[in-house]
Amino acid sequence: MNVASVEARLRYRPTGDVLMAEFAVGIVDTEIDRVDADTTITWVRHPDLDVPVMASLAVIGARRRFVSGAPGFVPLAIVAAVETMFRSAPSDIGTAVGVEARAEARLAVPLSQLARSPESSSSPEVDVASARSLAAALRELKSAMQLAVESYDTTPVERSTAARQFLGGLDSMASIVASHRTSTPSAVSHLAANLRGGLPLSDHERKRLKSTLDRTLDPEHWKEAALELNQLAAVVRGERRLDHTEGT
Amino acid sequence: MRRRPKETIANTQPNHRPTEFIVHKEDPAMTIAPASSYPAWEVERYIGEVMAEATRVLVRKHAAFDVDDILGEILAKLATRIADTMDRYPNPVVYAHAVCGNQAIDFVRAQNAQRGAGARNRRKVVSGDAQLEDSDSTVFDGLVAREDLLEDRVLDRLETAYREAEIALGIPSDEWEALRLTDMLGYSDAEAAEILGIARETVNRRKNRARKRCQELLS
Amino acid sequence: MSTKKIIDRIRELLIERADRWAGGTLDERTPLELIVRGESVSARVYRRYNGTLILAIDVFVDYVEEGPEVFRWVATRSGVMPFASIHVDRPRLTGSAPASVKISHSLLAAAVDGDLLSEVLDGMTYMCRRARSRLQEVLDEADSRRGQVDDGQARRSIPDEIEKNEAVTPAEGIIRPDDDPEEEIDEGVFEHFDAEIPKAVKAERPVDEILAELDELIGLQPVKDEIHRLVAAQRVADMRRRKQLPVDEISPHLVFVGNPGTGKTTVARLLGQLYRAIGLLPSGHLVEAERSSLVAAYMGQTAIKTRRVCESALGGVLFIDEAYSLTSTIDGRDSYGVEAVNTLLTFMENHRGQMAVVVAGYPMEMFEFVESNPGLRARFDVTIDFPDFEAAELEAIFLGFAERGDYVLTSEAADKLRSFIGGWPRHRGFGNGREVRKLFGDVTRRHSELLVASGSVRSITAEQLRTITADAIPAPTHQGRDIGVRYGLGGYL
Repeated sequence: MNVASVEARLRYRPTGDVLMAEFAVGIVDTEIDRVDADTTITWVRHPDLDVPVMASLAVIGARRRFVSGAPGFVPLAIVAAVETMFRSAPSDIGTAVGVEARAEARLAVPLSQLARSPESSSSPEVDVASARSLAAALRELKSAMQLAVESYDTTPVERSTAARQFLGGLDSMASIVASHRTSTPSAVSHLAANLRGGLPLSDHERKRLKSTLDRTLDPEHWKEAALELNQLAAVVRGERRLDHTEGT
Repeated sequence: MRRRPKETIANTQPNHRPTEFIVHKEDPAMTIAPASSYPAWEVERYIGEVMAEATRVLVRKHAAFDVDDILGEILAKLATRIADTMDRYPNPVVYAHAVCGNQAIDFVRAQNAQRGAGARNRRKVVSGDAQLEDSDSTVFDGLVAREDLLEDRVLDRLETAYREAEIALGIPSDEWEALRLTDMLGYSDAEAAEILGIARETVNRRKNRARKRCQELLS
Repeated sequence: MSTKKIIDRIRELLIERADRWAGGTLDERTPLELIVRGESVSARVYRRYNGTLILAIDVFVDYVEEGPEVFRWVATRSGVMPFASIHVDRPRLTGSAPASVKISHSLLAAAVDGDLLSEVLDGMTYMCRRARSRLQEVLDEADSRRGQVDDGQARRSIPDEIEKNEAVTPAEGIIRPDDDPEEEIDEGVFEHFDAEIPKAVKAERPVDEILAELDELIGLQPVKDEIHRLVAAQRVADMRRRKQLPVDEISPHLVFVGNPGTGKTTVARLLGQLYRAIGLLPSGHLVEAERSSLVAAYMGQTAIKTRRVCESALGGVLFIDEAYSLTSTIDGRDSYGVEAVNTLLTFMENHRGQMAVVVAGYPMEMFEFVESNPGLRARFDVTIDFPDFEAAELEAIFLGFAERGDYVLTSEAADKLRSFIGGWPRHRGFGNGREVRKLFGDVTRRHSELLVASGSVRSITAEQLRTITADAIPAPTHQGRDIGVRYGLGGYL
């Protein structure tokens, strides 16, 4: 039997920025695939196609992912609905009512759009040692910066929100890296957005840190990134200076 | 699954079925307890990170929409004691891991009860560190068997002890991992070893070291 | 001391006071990067065109997306900071890097010593933190007003003609960090702040259009006549200048006298636009100031504060209300006020043709103010009298408010209004337009109360909501007669 399109059910939670989709394609030979720590796809075998098809999709930090266009692994047919869900999200998420808000949508998706493609394959697994060293480096940078900030952080009123978000974000990213051992775009983009005033870094150092964080998006570069973060922690502690000739 | 009463706000897009935003009416249990010691943005961020990490952990083993239901439960639990939780678990990712274990277990138990004993999902984890076949009744049975350990109260104390240990004694994170997987989530030493990518003996050693430190604090 | 020695000494002093030295040498091309009290500080030494060695210090506040709220906030901040200026630093290539808000201060390199540096760094880093949190509040407010946080389209970008303020001020006297460096901006002062940015490109308004707008203002006939005459004289002078004919310089500076609420600020704003339209001033924007905007709490800071306000008015009109309070000798406020006046005069001298100043206040006091100082006397030779509004004019103003608010008055209400306004006691300090505004507020409030008290709220019709009845208008307090004394000095008025 030839099936042209299947039903898709979408759900989006603004709290946590979590997007989930389920496609009615059956559950034969399910394979769970992690594209990165934020994206998990489930594939199943379908009688009509040679390649596996997407049975479900979960994306964390979805809204940020969609900022420069939908990622390649998202079936085209659901993009418009997803963007509508983003746009109509309530802005008062922090309230008791807002925090539970969820959007749902149902639509039809052509089966062909669910076929597995190279973009939707898992990223390489990182060995435990590299993951641990990156996590440790992130934590170390966090303590160095926290110490530098707290010496002058005399009143909560003066504490920059972005700086606190950044420091907390370093800890969170370290934990995510240690437990999932693959890249986390949402954590990186949260850090990038908060790498601003209020942190004890010079302009050069800020730029260097930004590029190091971007590098962590490719797990191949985790070892280098860990080294750079350790260097930066030493810089923040005043033990050395950043070499300006090193490329940014 | 218990359904809460809902209010619907509808937005319609011309080429799609209606997209609805379901906003749950305020359930007294759902009111977020005041967390005056933390600014609103921080509470929002914390809850968001817990939900995000819980999703990351849960989607590895459960169907997407099942995950969504579990998230609802986690949120309900968190909402009633947010300030407390933020105090005890400054790192929301750690809290998410701690609570996922419980929630997943509850959920599986409920599902098994619904489907009748002997029901299993057939899922195979390909990537990720948990090379577990899910007909891996060992895992779930193991969990179910350790009911005494899974009692909230005991877990809570262990969690507290861990937090204090981590902060005060600085239990290294690998000892914590070993302890969590074995004592709290019920994996065997061998399973934990696979998950962590280390030898079984190492797991044993680390878990015992961690246990000792916790006991010191618990007494 | 040789230049090299001075620079070395400054570098040493700076590094000593920093948490850590992050790089650079103090050279203009490789500024000294430091972390001071947790903040990112950049310092460089350079030579001014006249040879003076200057130490310039910048403190990084935050990255910003260029938008009207940021610019408006930064512009109002400039006049308020006691000794440092705050500005938006834009990257050379648009889009290559985000714009940043920075706090800057410059010092005479030769005058720098350890104590001075400590105080400057202390003050600037403290101000930086406060500016950062205030900036965040401003942006959050703007975001919530706009609704969508991620909607990049909502933010306009600033025209490229905006240039950074490069004014350098050598240190004068001892600078102490203010007890309250963040003096809250009195919103009243900037209520009419025309957030027109200096040199911002706007649609050119022809002179006649602006004059027409002036003519449409209620009352003020003598003022209109005077302004028309002024503009005509300036245009003729300009034409003569172009034809290389001798010109009698007409001072663009004016004195406005009269009671409050008589439209002095409005006319000053239009005057600025007129000056721009006839080519007398480059931008013609209006900056409003009063004593508190010019005078500071410490010696030496008044000069700096006044200069900052003057700088923000460069290219446009500086309007100083109640200017006589600068030199009145009540409470011994004398010395600081005099400092402000002298600074103002010096600035006007140094920036001829780049700024117009309008001073305003009560007639007798303004006369004394101008006469008290030969510098002022020489520059402010034209006075324009702003008479109180006639009763009919005040009524027209009230009806104008009513129309804008979509209200109509019953004929009884209109009659009662007329007699109420007619019975207003006219005296020195009579609020004119402001009185009418207050009255309008009272009337609409009373109108609402009456509606609610009348019975069921549900059955109030739109018609009732719009119609103001006589019982909403208060009864006249006096029988229409002039009460009180008018100050004046014969022919001067």
